[in-house]
Amino acid sequence: MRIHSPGKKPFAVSRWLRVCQVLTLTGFLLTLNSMWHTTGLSFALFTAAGTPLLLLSAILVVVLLIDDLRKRHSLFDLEVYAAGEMIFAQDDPADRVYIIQQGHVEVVRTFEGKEIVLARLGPGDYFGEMAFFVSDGRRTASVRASSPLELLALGKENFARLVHALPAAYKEFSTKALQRSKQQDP
Amino acid sequence: MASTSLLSSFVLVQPVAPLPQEVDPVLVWLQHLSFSSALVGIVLALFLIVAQRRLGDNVLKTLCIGEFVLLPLFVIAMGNIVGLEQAKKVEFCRSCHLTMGSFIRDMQDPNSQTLAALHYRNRWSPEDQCYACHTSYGLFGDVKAKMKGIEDFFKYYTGTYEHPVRMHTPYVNAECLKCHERTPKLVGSEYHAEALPQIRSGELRCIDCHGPAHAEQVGQ
Repeated sequence: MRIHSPGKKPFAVSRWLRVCQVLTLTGFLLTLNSMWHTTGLSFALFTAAGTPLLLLSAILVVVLLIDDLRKRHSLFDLEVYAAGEMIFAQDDPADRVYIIQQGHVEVVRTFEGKEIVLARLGPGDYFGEMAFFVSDGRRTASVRASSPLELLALGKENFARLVHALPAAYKEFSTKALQRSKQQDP
Repeated sequence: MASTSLLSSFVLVQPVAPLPQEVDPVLVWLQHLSFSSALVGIVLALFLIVAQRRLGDNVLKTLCIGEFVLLPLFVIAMGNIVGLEQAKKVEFCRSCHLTMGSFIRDMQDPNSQTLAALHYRNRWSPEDQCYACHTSYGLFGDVKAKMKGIEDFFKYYTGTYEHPVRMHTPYVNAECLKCHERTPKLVGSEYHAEALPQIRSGELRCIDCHGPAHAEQVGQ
């Protein structure tokens, strides 16, 4: 089954998680104020603003977690990016491997403040596998779309199943990852 | 005045501050728990803002469930329980009903002969005195009082109230009868026995004979 969706950020770098943090922080501050000294104003602020903010944040996080779970177990989501858009950034936590359907990407890495283009990939190429073989779950480089882009995204859990079930796939991905790792070393 | 002579017959005692055993330990404990939980929530939120990218995936998600789902639900429940209990305190009422400061001072005045002062001094109403007399008895009495309180809160802070500030509805006998009904002083008195149907129907107001309730009504 294919799900046509815009590109999504992993859980840890989701903008919505930041929104939840701000909402929760405000809610807790209003609670603290009300518990410190319960007056008409402080209690009304807690019930009328603090409680809805905390509830909204809780709902948002549950939605984010469910979405993340779906992505981790997704079998080839179709993700769409505009030219110039970042697919992931260096050091981000990794949750997917990507196969390029249409368009091109640039793999870039920052050394001492300077951005170096390591590779340009096109239809049929894949990327994002290195995080699972050589870098302990972190992205070793940033990847951005250099043209309008369509990617097939394979969730982390299903990717792990694939490489464990198929030795040939394991060999293909691990060899490529090591080869790319050597190319990336300064 | 008949009511004044009736009131002066009560034995005067000095006002008593809340005794340690009258402070509900469960409420105090819950308040501390809610406060600490909110504090932990703030610290954890700040920690996540700084360190979320450095945490492992599973650790981050576990922390997020605790920080954004479980802890807020707990804090909301505890905060509302504590807040609603605290909202019965005289200090809480005074925090918004600023013009009634004189009523509270009169209530705590050892020489005052108003109904509020007598109830306070003789410990007929040992705590939450405003709330004890000014919430309608019945299943929805507390809810009505809270709804009205929220309405008043918004009127006060938006400046949409009108002068003179009055009670929403005239004080009803049911507020007195919720405690005094069937007491020997009410049913045993020949005056009360005769007038009981009128008292219950509200035709004859308790406050007419036993007032004034608060200082401002003295001499009216």
